[in-house]
Amino acid sequence: MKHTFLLLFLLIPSLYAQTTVDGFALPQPGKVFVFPRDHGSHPEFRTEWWYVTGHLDAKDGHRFGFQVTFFRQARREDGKTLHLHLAHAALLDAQTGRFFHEERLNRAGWDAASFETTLAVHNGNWSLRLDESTQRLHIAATVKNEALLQLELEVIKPLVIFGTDGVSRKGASETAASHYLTWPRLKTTGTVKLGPAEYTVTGEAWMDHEFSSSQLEEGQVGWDWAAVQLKDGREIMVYRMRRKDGTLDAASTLAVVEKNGNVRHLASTAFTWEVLGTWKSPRSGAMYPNHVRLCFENESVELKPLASDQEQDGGITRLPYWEGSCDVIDSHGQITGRAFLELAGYAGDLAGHLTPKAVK
Amino acid sequence: MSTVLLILRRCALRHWRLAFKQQLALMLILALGSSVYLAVRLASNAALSGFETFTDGVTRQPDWTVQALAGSLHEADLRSMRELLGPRPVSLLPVVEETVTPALDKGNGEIGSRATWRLLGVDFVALLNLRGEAPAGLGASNLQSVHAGVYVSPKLGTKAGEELRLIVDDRVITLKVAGVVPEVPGVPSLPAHLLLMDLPEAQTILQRMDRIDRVEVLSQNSPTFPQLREETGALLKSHWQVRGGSDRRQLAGTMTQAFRLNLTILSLLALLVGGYLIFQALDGVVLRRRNEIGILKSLGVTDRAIQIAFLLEAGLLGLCGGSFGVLLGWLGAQAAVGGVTKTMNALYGATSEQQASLSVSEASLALSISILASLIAAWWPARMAARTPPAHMLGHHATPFEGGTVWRVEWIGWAMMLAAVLLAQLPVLRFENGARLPLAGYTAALLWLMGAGLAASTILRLVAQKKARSAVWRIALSHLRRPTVRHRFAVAALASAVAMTTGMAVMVASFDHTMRGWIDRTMKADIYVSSAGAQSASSTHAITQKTVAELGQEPGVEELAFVQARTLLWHGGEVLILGTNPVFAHKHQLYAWVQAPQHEEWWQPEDGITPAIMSESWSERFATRVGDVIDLAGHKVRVVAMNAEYGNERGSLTLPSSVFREWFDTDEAWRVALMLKPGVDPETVRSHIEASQPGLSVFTNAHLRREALRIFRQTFSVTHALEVIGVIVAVVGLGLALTSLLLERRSVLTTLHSLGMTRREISKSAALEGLGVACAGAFTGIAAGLWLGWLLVYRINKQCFGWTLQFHAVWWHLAVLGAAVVATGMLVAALVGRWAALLPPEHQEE
Repeated sequence: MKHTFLLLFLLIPSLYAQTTVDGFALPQPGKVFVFPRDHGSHPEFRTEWWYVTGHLDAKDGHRFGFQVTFFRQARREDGKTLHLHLAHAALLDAQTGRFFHEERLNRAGWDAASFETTLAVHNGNWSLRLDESTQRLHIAATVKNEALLQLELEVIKPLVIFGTDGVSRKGASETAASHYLTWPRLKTTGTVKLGPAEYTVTGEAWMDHEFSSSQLEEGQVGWDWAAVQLKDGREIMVYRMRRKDGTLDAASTLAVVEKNGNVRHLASTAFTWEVLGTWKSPRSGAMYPNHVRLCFENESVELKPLASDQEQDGGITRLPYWEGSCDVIDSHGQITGRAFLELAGYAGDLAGHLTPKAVK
Repeated sequence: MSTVLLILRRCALRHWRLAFKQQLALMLILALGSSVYLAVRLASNAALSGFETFTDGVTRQPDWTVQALAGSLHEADLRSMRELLGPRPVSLLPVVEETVTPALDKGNGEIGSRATWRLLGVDFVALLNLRGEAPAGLGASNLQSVHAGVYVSPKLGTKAGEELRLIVDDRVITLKVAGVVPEVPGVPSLPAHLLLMDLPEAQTILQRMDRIDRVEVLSQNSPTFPQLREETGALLKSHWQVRGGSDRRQLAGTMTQAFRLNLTILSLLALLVGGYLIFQALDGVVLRRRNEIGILKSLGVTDRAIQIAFLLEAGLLGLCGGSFGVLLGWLGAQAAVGGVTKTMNALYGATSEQQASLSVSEASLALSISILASLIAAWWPARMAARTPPAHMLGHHATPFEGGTVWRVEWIGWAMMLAAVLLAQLPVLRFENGARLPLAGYTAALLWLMGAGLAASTILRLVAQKKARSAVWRIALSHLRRPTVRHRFAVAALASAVAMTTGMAVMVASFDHTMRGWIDRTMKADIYVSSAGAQSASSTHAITQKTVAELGQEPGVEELAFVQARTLLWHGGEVLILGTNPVFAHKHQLYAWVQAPQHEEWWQPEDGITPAIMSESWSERFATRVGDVIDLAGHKVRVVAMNAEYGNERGSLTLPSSVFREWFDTDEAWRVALMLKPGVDPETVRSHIEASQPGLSVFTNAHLRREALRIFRQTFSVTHALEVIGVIVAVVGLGLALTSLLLERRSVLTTLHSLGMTRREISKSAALEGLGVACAGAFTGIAAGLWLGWLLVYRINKQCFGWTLQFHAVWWHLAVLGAAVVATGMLVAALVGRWAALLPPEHQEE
């Protein structure tokens, strides 16, 4: 009994350290993930997202890049926890360069929800669901009333948990971390309807599921992220946390997922990120370095956007960012894969928007 | 054409200059006629647009509006809707809506004198997804919290941070103004009396947790989704009540169609009377210019050129009169809009008073009507001028000119009246959503009015048969014995105006009489209670069961009953469903049966089918008969009786309260009736309840009766104004006709003067002539008006509103009307006679 009291006494400080000041959970090393439950929602964390990006090809040679993302953001108000569901959908018609995108925001409730028991999220008429019987994912999304995507995603490479001991660090502070789960390669089939034309498509997608309570830390202003799918069966995930003073946060990393599913994390000093070209948005005025070259372990990977304007204008959240489909080119000029590149924080300080504010 | 213009310039316009006052009077008649029509049209449109601003305002026009088959929608319904629509890009916007009343606006104690606003609860967060289609600046941006309170239009004149005290249902609450919604060009702005609130907060304030009143649906077609709107509508219709976004306005349009049509037709009365007068005036012009016409014809001017010149002159007259009429009409509309809006509000519910604005199309329409009326009226005189041989035109010894023969054949008038009687037997035209148009009835009324006008000359001749000894009388009667077209049309104009006024007076009196009887039979409670915000037919303020229970605890109250109410869409039209305690109503005999139920305890169901009572309006609107079984909101209902109900013309169906509660899932009361213990003073109880329940309006029986009759009378205020204008136009026309006649007889007047008749005698003779015309017009008008009253009471009113009225005429009202018309006619004639007697012989025209 005595020992029990002592154990409790010792545990109390660490119990406090498991939550943010306002009571949201923090990622804990050694977390044992249980599926399909952990594909579902974790409302004890402040922020969570299910992020699907991919590349599609139609039989007639049409090529598309798509993104369907569901966010959940919680806040405390009058002792209650309120959840908002934000979602983004985008489609690039690579042939014409036309980029369609839409942002959506709803309260948790009848028109937006994320289930806790399995992967099932929806926001309005957009949805992402895991069919447990087939282990396939289903996406239905429209972009305004101009495009309709209905896709089925089959897991062809096992789930990856990035970070160390189940925790992916984004900064030095204790709270700047997340649980970061990824399906790096999903075989994708389905249809894309654009105007009167309907395309039967096949391709590959990438899905991140990440939950945390305070990812950005003091001094960080944004990030660059890329998901690269190489033809040789490997994938690369890279993120660079940018600081206000122009330096790179030491928590930045590049991870290589080998063909067999093994993951190698490289430190921020073990890779370089060279800007080859920029594009200035006529809407937000932001200058996006959207043509880059990654160098690591004697490898050179150039990410070249399929279209310059793949900016999501953040009409509701007022957080414009660039998220676009790219070709991957090796040092010999050969296309060796496809990638999605995300450039956030170029149209203003993200920390100002994303750190929790006092409730009015 | 140059000949025509030459005639127009040298003859017509020269006469205009010489007889400027006469032309001015003619223009005024035309202006008045077209202005009344325009004013009524603009005012009706403004009142109708008030319906729109009350119902819209949150988004651009929704493609569909979804409501529950009965009662409220719940969150489960919303989920089902989304599931049913699948991946279609459809925005669903749940809305709670309630009428509210500013507590500080005490009104003047009359029902309807306090403002009715609307409180709309909409999900501010979801509204962000409709950027450009919904008001901006509602504070729900940037993932931060929504400000508590209401958002208002800048037109309301309040500032953020101020407080609004409002009556919501039976409570007085205070709401903080969270912000003023800026007006952004291209984005829907808030109407002045619409308060917006975030949905969860509004649900809390209105005590409607998890309940939604309607869902606005946006589903625009696009090349990717070419049938989206239609598919969405079809899918939703399988489970809920769905109507198109524009349907609500159309519904308001259909609902008020009969009322607006009645007003429009009445407004055309002044134009009809004006038409008669233009005819007789131009007829006189032809006569006075016969010398000139004769000379022109002798000089070789063709008949066609003369006819065209006359028509052009008439068109010009119509243009000038019409232009002035547009101005007068716009001014009149500003005055009439309040009355029309109040009437629509009392009869049909929530519309807001709008500015009556003039559009180019409306102005053009009024102008065209004025020109057309002028041309139609001028057609015959112009034809006559063109066709009469020059020999008949020239010389003072030419045949006395009495106008076109066709218009002197009285049988045309009688034939028109017979046709009217036959037409009155035809049934009403019915439309899909229960709307009706008594086209045959209106045509009968028009034919009857015109026929009575033309047949009135018979009475004129009867009047002229009077034996007279004095020269003054003889001269006066001699002119009536062989009446000219001018006489006939002056009588016709007067007869039409008086007939219409009489007909309306009979209808109003019948209504008044019937209403009093109905009120006596149905209003038997000592005290009536409603929410203080219940100001119109469509106020949705309710009284909670808690308050009802408190009212029952009032000392002095012996018995209490309440009525529940909800509206439903049925067969494309809105109907009122009432829930009452049938035992209470039976015990106190509160129903005014048109067709009583077979069993006294009508509320006991047979074969498990719900029994219900329909109002007369329902029966007329949907052709439902007692004994019919109808499908309503997914339930089978047997109509077991029909009652008279003059409170609304949409039609109501009364259910036993237990059934109502089950259908609509509510125990909120709409109106509460209290029976007091013997000897208890109702006024004391009223004061006590009002003091303890500031959110309620309490009426004693006597007060509510007075209010009911006042509201009823108010609905006819615009009608009375239109009648007065019609009679004024007719009397002015009589003066104009006499002026014309006396000018034609200028040489006769000079001769009479030379023979020793004094000016006083000449004036008296003219006054007597006018008296004859006025008597014939008034007598024919009143006689014809009685039948018109019958037509309005038993045919048009029944077909439009479904109400059975008891024919009732207030004879002394009609006697006063006749006497006033005769006296005014005589006075005008005397003044004209006096002026004519002073005319020097050499005067041509003046």
